[in-house]
Amino acid sequence: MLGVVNKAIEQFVRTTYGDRVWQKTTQLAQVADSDIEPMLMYSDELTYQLVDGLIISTGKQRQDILDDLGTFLVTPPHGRMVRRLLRFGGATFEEFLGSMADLNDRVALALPDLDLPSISIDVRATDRVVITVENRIQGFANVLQGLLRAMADDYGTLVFIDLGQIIDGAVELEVILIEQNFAQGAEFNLAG
Amino acid sequence: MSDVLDVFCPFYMRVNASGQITRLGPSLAKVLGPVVGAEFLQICGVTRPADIKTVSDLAEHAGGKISFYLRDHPDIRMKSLICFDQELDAYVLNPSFGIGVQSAIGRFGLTMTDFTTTDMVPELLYLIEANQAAMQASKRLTIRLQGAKAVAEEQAHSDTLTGLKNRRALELALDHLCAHGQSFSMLQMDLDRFKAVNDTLGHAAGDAVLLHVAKVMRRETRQCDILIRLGGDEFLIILPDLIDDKRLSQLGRALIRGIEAPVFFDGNLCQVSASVGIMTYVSEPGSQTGYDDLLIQVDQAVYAAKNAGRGCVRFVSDVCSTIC
Repeated sequence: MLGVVNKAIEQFVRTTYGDRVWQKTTQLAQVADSDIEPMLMYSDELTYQLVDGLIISTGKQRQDILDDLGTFLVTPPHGRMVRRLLRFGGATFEEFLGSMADLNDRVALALPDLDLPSISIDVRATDRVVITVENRIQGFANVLQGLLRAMADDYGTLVFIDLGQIIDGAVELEVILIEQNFAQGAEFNLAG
Repeated sequence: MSDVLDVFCPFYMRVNASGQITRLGPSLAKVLGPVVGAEFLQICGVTRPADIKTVSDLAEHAGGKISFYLRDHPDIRMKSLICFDQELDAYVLNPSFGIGVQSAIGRFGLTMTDFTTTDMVPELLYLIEANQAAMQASKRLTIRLQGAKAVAEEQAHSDTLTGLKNRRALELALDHLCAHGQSFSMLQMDLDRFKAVNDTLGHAAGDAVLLHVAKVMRRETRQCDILIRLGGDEFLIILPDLIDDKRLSQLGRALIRGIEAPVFFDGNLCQVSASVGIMTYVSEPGSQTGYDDLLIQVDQAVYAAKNAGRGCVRFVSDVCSTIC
């Protein structure tokens, strides 16, 4: 996994739980601080060790932690850049959901080494979209769930997201759009 | 027709045969403002083809492309196809910002909905920003690696105890000075009675003395001088451009005085002195020298100082006059 994933976890932990929890997490995961360079490749195992360490050091549930991580990724100030890049996916949350099918292509344009699980989109009804995520990276669907909820919030759309079981090596996320213009969305300035 | 163009080509523009703007797509209207009825050539300054001065010139280039800038925003450039539609009896243009699209979008507050879903502009903007972010991350990595490299190099050229440079740094410095034909002096010091301190009070006491010597060297020398621990109790100072015997002799004595100052370690007095040898190399135009001979000479001067009773300064010239 590209180090940027581990770096994101580090920023998430330091910002949300503080430096001491991060130190404890790296100790538990037996990872040295200098091991995390965003643009270098690491084994997937290292990332899993960090998440395991984080669960012990915070005493939180795995799915809650991963969900929070997903939200953190797109929440300014730290998530400013990822949020912006994702907002290029569409003018409305519905369009944005559709763009999730291109997520891998978009990511590849920015970081060719960040090899994310493949994602497919199935619009079952005008208010019901099912996102199928390849279950290649443990916990990725949980992170995506938190990220999608935060993005819906950013667009001012009220949604309900249900995480299904792992079937045939894939996880389904069911997104129910409750109200498109639920709140005033955050501004998105195309030119930055 | 126009309704279709509003959707398919929100930046389109229609100009009638007499040169007036008659219709604008909704996105171009955001850029140009309420200019329907105005003269096209008064709103847009055509830069290419250069021969378009009047409306009648447009006819010559119908079916081709034109470049223009906005007279209200001279830094905003656009390019466009221009066609004449017989049915409408008007020119139709589809202006685009080209490579300057990012600043134009900022200027006119354009949003995603101002571009059609098939327009690559949002993807282009995405790519620009994604690329900038990735470049920044790579740049930060490079800077960190550079810092680590500098530290490693500094350590490779430094004596870990005293922080003075080591023999490798000496060779590099001499290479540089000789290659550039620069005049310089070298002052070498061997400590006197250092072995006694080491043997009677232990290595920790010896280390304290070495640190004291390094401190004195730093205190008595200039920023540009290169301070080296050759190893054990031998030190050397390279003094670029300082070739005045009197000043060098003063420096040698000041160093000895400083080194002779008593050092206490664990309540024990550790007192040493130093024998100092000095050589001066005056560069002459076109002359090239190897530094091995110079190092031998300065070493001989140190021996002369030791033989003269230690705790004193001797120049290479003193050695020569004795030998010769």
